[in-house]
Amino acid sequence: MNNPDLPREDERGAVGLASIQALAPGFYAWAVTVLPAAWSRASGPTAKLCALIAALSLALSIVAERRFAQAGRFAGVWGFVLFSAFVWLLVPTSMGPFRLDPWRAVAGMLGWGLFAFVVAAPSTRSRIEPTEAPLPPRTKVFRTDALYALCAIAVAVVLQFIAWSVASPERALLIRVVTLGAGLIIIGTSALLVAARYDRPAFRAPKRRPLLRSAAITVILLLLLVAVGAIFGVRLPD
Amino acid sequence: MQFVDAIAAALTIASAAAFWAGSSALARAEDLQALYWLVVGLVAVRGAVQLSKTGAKG
Repeated sequence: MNNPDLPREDERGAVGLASIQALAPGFYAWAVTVLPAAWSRASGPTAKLCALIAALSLALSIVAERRFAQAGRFAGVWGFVLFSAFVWLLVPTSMGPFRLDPWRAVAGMLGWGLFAFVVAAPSTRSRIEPTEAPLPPRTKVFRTDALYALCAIAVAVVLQFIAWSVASPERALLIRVVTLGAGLIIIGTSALLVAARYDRPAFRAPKRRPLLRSAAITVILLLLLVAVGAIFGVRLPD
Repeated sequence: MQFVDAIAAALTIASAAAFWAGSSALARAEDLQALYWLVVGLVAVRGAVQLSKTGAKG
């Protein structure tokens, strides 16, 4: 007889995906807030065991959901949450305001918030039937697209290292904001360059001549800026 | 790859270098230089975006 709690055949592709979605944010939150507490100096073996059970519970929630549907998912997720809470109860000093790094606290808050959002959200569902052949691509994708994206991401990451060497926290924060904005601009520009290579109506330039004119003006302005910098002796960093 | 795509990519690289120079100048507390390099970076990015739009196939 069919068990009504088990998923239907056509939903079987979606089973376990809710738990899988929660894995990444769950492990992130665990690594930022539970693991340091469990392995701090004030913690004992019970706290370490609870931390390991919490991680195992989250990992096994995938298997539990596949077998027991929602009941398995609840057991896995709530086991993870409860054993994480046990760790904090066993090591209360690790969460004190003088011990907890503010940036780690913010990261942990974001991690737990994202975990809660993902657990509460509906799971994604595969729309492709396994018996169907894969759809043909609409357009050819250039292999260098990934190179554009990776280079842009690498530049954005490298820019972040500048602020680490600054002693003054206010200036470091200003540099952090500037480099973050610069990184986003670089990534966005690279995405635009990639998209403009495809023959898609959204990226066609219907009025080519005015755009060429404004692009030429921008390039001339850039050359003027470089010339002004050279005249006034603006130097590149060492 | 079209010629304008290459120019746009070069401008993007130049803007990344300008942003790096500007951030380094900020770290050395040379704010005027930092402002100069950040403006250069922004202008280079704008030029890259405009050129990529003109270079789009149509």
